[in-house]
Amino acid sequence: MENFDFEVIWSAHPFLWQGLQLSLWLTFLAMIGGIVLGTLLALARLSGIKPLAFVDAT
Amino acid sequence: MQERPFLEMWNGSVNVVRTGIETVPSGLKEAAKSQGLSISQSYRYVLLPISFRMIVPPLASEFLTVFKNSSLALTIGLLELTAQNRQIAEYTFQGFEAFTAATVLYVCIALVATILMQILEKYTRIPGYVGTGN
Repeated sequence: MENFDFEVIWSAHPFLWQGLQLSLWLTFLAMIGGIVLGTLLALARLSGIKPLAFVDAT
Repeated sequence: MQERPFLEMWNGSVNVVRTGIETVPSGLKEAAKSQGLSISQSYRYVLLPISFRMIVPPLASEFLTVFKNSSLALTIGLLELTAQNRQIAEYTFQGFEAFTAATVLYVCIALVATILMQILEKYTRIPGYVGTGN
């Protein structure tokens, strides 16, 4: 344990912060995209229009 | 192949939302129709609001999964949290510290998200539809 040097992490914290921001941004985009696309797909499935529902099911 | 991480990331939340909307009881649709709402009105005012409230709990756990899977983005060169920590480890040769920091950050975000989502669930819960809760 005495070899651990957490100074390294502290001196690199701007990079950690950048990475965290990008991670959260990606998660946010994926959730928004998933909600929009999921809604559209569900509506296509439930619309009763045969070709749409077929494309959706495959 | 390039877009595969993004497909992985989307896939889960798409399916959660989609099954959530599809499982709205069909009686609701008929009830909305019997009130004289057109199809688009019944979706706009009855079915979608109810289904969005019903999918909040599964979306909360989906958020955690997507956040965890966002580390897949490093495979296409995006410098997100895991990739940054990998770089720190390579520059400084302090791999354990770097990945400890990553772990701690991931855990913190997950805990904060869980707490926030619990509060959100409490407010969006539809009595009688989603599990009893408190």
